[in-house]
Amino acid sequence: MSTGIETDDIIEPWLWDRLNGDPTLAAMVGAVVNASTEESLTDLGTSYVVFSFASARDVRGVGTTRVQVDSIYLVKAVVKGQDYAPARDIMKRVDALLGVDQTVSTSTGDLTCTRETIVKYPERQDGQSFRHLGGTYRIRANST
Amino acid sequence: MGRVRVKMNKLPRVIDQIPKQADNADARTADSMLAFIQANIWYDTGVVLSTAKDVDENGAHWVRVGVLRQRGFYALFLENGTVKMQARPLVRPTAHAHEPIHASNHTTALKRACRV
Repeated sequence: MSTGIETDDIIEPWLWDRLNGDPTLAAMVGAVVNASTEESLTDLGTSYVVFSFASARDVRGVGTTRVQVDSIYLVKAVVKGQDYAPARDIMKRVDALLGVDQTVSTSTGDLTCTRETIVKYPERQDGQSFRHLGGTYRIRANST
Repeated sequence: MGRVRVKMNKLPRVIDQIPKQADNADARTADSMLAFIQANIWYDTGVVLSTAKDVDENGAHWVRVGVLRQRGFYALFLENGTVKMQARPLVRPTAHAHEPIHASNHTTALKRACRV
Protein backbone atom coordinates (compact mmCIF):
# COMPACT_ATOMS: atom_id res chain seq x y z
CA MET A 1 0.00 0.00 0.00
CA SER A 2 1.21 3.45 -0.83
CA THR A 3 0.18 6.35 1.37
CA GLY A 4 0.68 10.08 1.36
CA ILE A 5 1.08 12.50 -1.51
CA GLU A 6 3.71 10.69 -3.55
CA THR A 7 4.41 13.58 -5.93
CA ASP A 8 5.34 15.87 -3.04
CA ASP A 9 6.75 13.25 -0.68
CA ILE A 10 8.92 11.23 -3.07
CA ILE A 11 9.08 12.38 -6.67
CA GLU A 12 9.73 16.11 -6.50
CA PRO A 13 12.27 15.90 -3.65
CA TRP A 14 14.11 13.23 -5.66
CA LEU A 15 14.06 15.33 -8.84
CA TRP A 16 15.24 18.37 -6.90
CA ASP A 17 18.07 16.48 -5.20
CA ARG A 18 19.22 14.79 -8.41
CA LEU A 19 19.25 17.97 -10.46
CA ASN A 20 20.58 20.30 -7.77
CA GLY A 21 23.13 17.98 -6.25
CA ASP A 22 25.17 17.45 -9.38
CA PRO A 23 28.24 19.71 -9.75
CA THR A 24 28.53 19.01 -13.50
CA LEU A 25 25.01 20.22 -14.16
CA ALA A 26 25.48 23.15 -11.78
CA ALA A 27 28.41 24.32 -13.90
CA MET A 28 26.28 24.21 -17.05
CA VAL A 29 23.12 26.05 -15.96
CA GLY A 30 22.23 29.15 -14.00
CA ALA A 31 19.41 27.54 -12.06
CA VAL A 32 17.25 24.50 -11.56
CA VAL A 33 13.60 25.35 -11.14
CA ASN A 34 10.70 23.35 -9.76
CA ALA A 35 7.75 24.84 -11.62
CA SER A 36 5.38 23.69 -8.87
CA THR A 37 6.92 26.05 -6.36
CA GLU A 38 8.45 28.79 -8.51
CA GLU A 39 5.89 31.37 -9.55
CA SER A 40 8.16 33.50 -11.69
CA LEU A 41 10.53 32.44 -14.45
CA THR A 42 12.36 35.75 -14.73
CA ASP A 43 16.02 36.40 -13.93
CA LEU A 44 17.11 32.81 -14.35
CA GLY A 45 20.14 33.55 -16.50
CA THR A 46 20.90 32.46 -20.04
CA SER A 47 20.24 28.81 -19.36
CA TYR A 48 18.29 26.88 -16.81
CA VAL A 49 16.58 23.56 -16.21
CA VAL A 50 12.93 23.45 -15.25
CA PHE A 51 10.87 20.46 -14.20
CA SER A 52 7.12 20.60 -13.98
CA PHE A 53 4.32 18.29 -12.97
CA ALA A 54 2.16 17.28 -15.94
CA SER A 55 -0.10 14.50 -14.77
CA ALA A 56 -0.56 11.79 -12.14
CA ARG A 57 -2.80 8.80 -11.77
CA ASP A 58 -3.27 6.43 -8.86
CA VAL A 59 -2.65 2.76 -9.59
CA ARG A 60 -4.87 0.52 -7.54
CA GLY A 61 -4.34 -3.05 -6.45
CA VAL A 62 -6.99 -5.22 -4.89
CA GLY A 63 -10.10 -3.24 -4.01
CA THR A 64 -9.37 0.37 -3.24
CA THR A 65 -5.79 -0.13 -2.12
CA ARG A 66 -3.44 2.33 -3.78
CA VAL A 67 -0.19 0.63 -4.67
CA GLN A 68 1.53 3.25 -6.78
CA VAL A 69 1.33 6.66 -8.36
CA ASP A 70 1.98 6.84 -12.08
CA SER A 71 3.07 10.36 -12.98
CA ILE A 72 4.44 12.32 -15.91
CA TYR A 73 6.89 15.17 -15.50
CA LEU A 74 8.25 17.55 -18.09
CA VAL A 75 11.96 18.25 -17.65
CA LYS A 76 13.60 20.64 -20.07
CA ALA A 77 16.56 22.91 -20.59
CA VAL A 78 15.92 26.47 -21.70
CA VAL A 79 18.78 28.37 -23.32
CA LYS A 80 19.03 31.82 -24.80
CA GLY A 81 20.08 31.89 -28.45
CA GLN A 82 19.32 30.14 -31.71
CA ASP A 83 21.43 27.05 -31.15
CA TYR A 84 20.18 23.84 -29.62
CA ALA A 85 23.72 22.59 -28.88
CA PRO A 86 24.00 24.02 -25.33
CA ALA A 87 20.55 22.65 -24.49
CA ARG A 88 21.54 19.27 -25.90
CA ASP A 89 24.61 19.10 -23.65
CA ILE A 90 22.52 20.04 -20.62
CA MET A 91 19.83 17.49 -21.40
CA LYS A 92 22.40 14.75 -21.92
CA ARG A 93 23.53 15.36 -18.37
CA VAL A 94 19.94 15.57 -17.09
CA ASP A 95 19.08 12.33 -18.83
CA ALA A 96 22.10 10.62 -17.29
CA LEU A 97 20.92 11.79 -13.87
CA LEU A 98 17.26 10.84 -14.30
CA GLY A 99 17.31 7.96 -16.77
CA VAL A 100 17.71 5.26 -14.18
CA ASP A 101 16.89 1.76 -15.32
CA GLN A 102 16.29 0.37 -11.89
CA THR A 103 14.20 1.10 -8.83
CA VAL A 104 15.56 3.92 -6.72
CA SER A 105 14.99 3.83 -2.98
CA THR A 106 14.67 7.10 -1.12
CA SER A 107 14.02 7.77 2.55
CA THR A 108 10.30 8.17 1.82
CA GLY A 109 9.70 5.57 -0.88
CA ASP A 110 10.73 3.87 -4.10
CA LEU A 111 10.47 5.10 -7.66
CA THR A 112 11.36 4.35 -11.25
CA CYS A 113 11.98 6.98 -13.90
CA THR A 114 11.94 6.54 -17.68
CA ARG A 115 11.99 9.11 -20.45
CA GLU A 116 9.08 8.70 -22.84
CA THR A 117 9.23 11.51 -25.35
CA ILE A 118 11.50 14.31 -26.46
CA VAL A 119 10.18 17.85 -26.27
CA LYS A 120 11.84 20.38 -28.56
CA TYR A 121 10.70 23.80 -29.76
CA PRO A 122 11.95 27.32 -30.40
CA GLU A 123 10.57 30.51 -28.92
CA ARG A 124 10.95 34.16 -29.69
CA GLN A 125 10.20 36.55 -26.86
CA ASP A 126 10.81 40.33 -26.79
CA GLY A 127 13.10 40.12 -29.82
CA GLN A 128 15.24 37.36 -28.32
CA SER A 129 15.47 33.71 -29.34
CA PHE A 130 15.23 30.82 -26.93
CA ARG A 131 15.49 27.08 -27.40
CA HIS A 132 13.62 24.56 -25.28
CA LEU A 133 14.85 20.98 -25.26
CA GLY A 134 13.88 18.23 -22.87
CA GLY A 135 11.61 15.30 -22.40
CA THR A 136 8.68 13.86 -20.57
CA TYR A 137 9.55 11.37 -17.87
CA ARG A 138 7.24 8.72 -16.52
CA ILE A 139 7.89 8.38 -12.82
CA ARG A 140 6.18 5.67 -10.83
CA ALA A 141 6.46 5.94 -7.08
CA ASN A 142 5.20 4.22 -3.99
CA SER A 143 5.77 5.22 -0.41
CA THR A 144 7.31 2.84 2.07
CA MET B 1 -8.89 -39.07 -22.74
CA GLY B 2 -11.68 -36.89 -24.15
CA ARG B 3 -11.92 -35.71 -27.69
CA VAL B 4 -12.70 -32.23 -28.89
CA ARG B 5 -15.15 -31.89 -31.74
CA VAL B 6 -15.33 -28.63 -33.61
CA LYS B 7 -18.91 -28.25 -34.79
CA MET B 8 -18.48 -24.81 -36.30
CA ASN B 9 -15.27 -22.93 -36.83
CA LYS B 10 -16.02 -19.30 -35.92
CA LEU B 11 -12.40 -18.28 -35.77
CA PRO B 12 -12.34 -16.66 -39.24
CA ARG B 13 -15.33 -14.50 -38.28
CA VAL B 14 -13.67 -13.52 -35.01
CA ILE B 15 -10.49 -12.61 -36.88
CA ASP B 16 -12.59 -10.61 -39.31
CA GLN B 17 -14.28 -8.72 -36.47
CA ILE B 18 -11.17 -7.81 -34.48
CA PRO B 19 -9.92 -4.96 -36.72
CA LYS B 20 -13.40 -3.44 -36.93
CA GLN B 21 -13.97 -3.59 -33.21
CA ALA B 22 -10.46 -2.31 -32.49
CA ASP B 23 -11.13 0.62 -34.81
CA ASN B 24 -14.36 1.34 -32.93
CA ALA B 25 -12.39 1.26 -29.66
CA ASP B 26 -9.86 3.75 -31.05
CA ALA B 27 -12.69 6.00 -32.21
CA ARG B 28 -14.34 5.89 -28.78
CA THR B 29 -11.06 6.84 -27.08
CA ALA B 30 -10.47 9.67 -29.56
CA ASP B 31 -14.01 11.00 -29.07
CA SER B 32 -13.58 10.93 -25.30
CA MET B 33 -10.19 12.65 -25.46
CA LEU B 34 -11.52 15.39 -27.72
CA ALA B 35 -14.52 15.99 -25.45
CA PHE B 36 -12.21 16.20 -22.43
CA ILE B 37 -9.87 18.64 -24.16
CA GLN B 38 -12.70 20.83 -25.44
CA ALA B 39 -14.22 20.98 -21.98
CA ASN B 40 -10.99 21.88 -20.21
CA ILE B 41 -8.94 23.85 -22.72
CA TRP B 42 -7.48 27.20 -21.69
CA TYR B 43 -9.78 29.81 -23.20
CA ASP B 44 -8.75 33.30 -24.19
CA THR B 45 -9.76 34.05 -27.76
CA GLY B 46 -11.09 30.59 -28.58
CA VAL B 47 -8.61 30.09 -31.44
CA VAL B 48 -6.86 27.11 -29.83
CA LEU B 49 -10.25 25.56 -29.01
CA SER B 50 -11.33 25.93 -32.64
CA THR B 51 -8.31 23.90 -33.78
CA ALA B 52 -9.11 20.93 -31.49
CA LYS B 53 -10.28 18.21 -33.83
CA ASP B 54 -10.75 14.46 -34.06
CA VAL B 55 -9.33 13.45 -37.43
CA ASP B 56 -9.46 10.07 -39.20
CA GLU B 57 -6.42 9.82 -41.41
CA ASN B 58 -4.49 6.93 -42.94
CA GLY B 59 -6.56 4.42 -41.05
CA ALA B 60 -5.85 5.99 -37.66
CA HIS B 61 -7.70 8.30 -35.29
CA TRP B 62 -5.92 11.49 -34.29
CA VAL B 63 -6.82 14.15 -31.78
CA ARG B 64 -5.13 17.34 -32.86
CA VAL B 65 -4.87 20.60 -30.99
CA GLY B 66 -3.25 23.70 -32.46
CA VAL B 67 -1.80 21.86 -35.43
CA LEU B 68 -2.32 24.67 -37.92
CA ARG B 69 0.71 26.87 -37.50
CA GLN B 70 -1.00 30.21 -37.95
CA ARG B 71 -4.08 29.29 -35.95
CA GLY B 72 -3.59 27.81 -32.56
CA PHE B 73 0.16 27.22 -32.63
CA TYR B 74 0.15 28.72 -29.15
CA ALA B 75 -1.15 25.37 -27.84
CA LEU B 76 2.48 24.18 -27.90
CA PHE B 77 3.49 26.96 -25.52
CA LEU B 78 0.53 26.33 -23.24
CA GLU B 79 1.45 22.66 -23.06
CA ASN B 80 5.16 23.09 -22.46
CA GLY B 81 5.61 26.66 -21.19
CA THR B 82 7.58 29.68 -22.32
CA VAL B 83 10.40 31.67 -20.75
CA LYS B 84 7.74 33.84 -19.12
CA MET B 85 4.97 31.35 -18.44
CA GLN B 86 4.84 28.02 -16.68
CA ALA B 87 3.57 25.03 -18.60
CA ARG B 88 -0.19 24.56 -18.42
CA PRO B 89 -0.45 21.05 -19.83
CA LEU B 90 -3.77 19.71 -21.03
CA VAL B 91 -3.14 17.29 -23.90
CA ARG B 92 -0.56 15.27 -21.95
CA PRO B 93 -2.79 14.79 -18.85
CA THR B 94 -5.69 13.93 -21.16
CA ALA B 95 -3.69 11.20 -22.88
CA HIS B 96 -2.38 9.97 -19.53
CA ALA B 97 -5.89 9.76 -18.06
CA HIS B 98 -7.08 7.89 -21.13
CA GLU B 99 -4.48 5.11 -20.96
CA PRO B 100 -6.64 2.83 -18.74
CA ILE B 101 -9.78 3.93 -20.61
CA HIS B 102 -8.18 2.98 -23.91
CA ALA B 103 -7.11 -0.41 -22.53
CA SER B 104 -10.66 -0.97 -21.29
CA ASN B 105 -12.12 0.02 -24.68
CA HIS B 106 -9.91 -2.55 -26.39
CA THR B 107 -10.84 -5.26 -23.89
CA THR B 108 -14.49 -4.56 -24.70
CA ALA B 109 -13.67 -4.61 -28.41
CA LEU B 110 -12.04 -8.02 -28.16
CA LYS B 111 -15.00 -9.41 -26.23
CA ARG B 112 -17.38 -8.07 -28.87
CA ALA B 113 -15.29 -9.58 -31.63
CA CYS B 114 -15.53 -12.97 -29.94
CA ARG B 115 -19.31 -12.67 -29.63
CA VAL B 116 -20.03 -13.86 -33.17
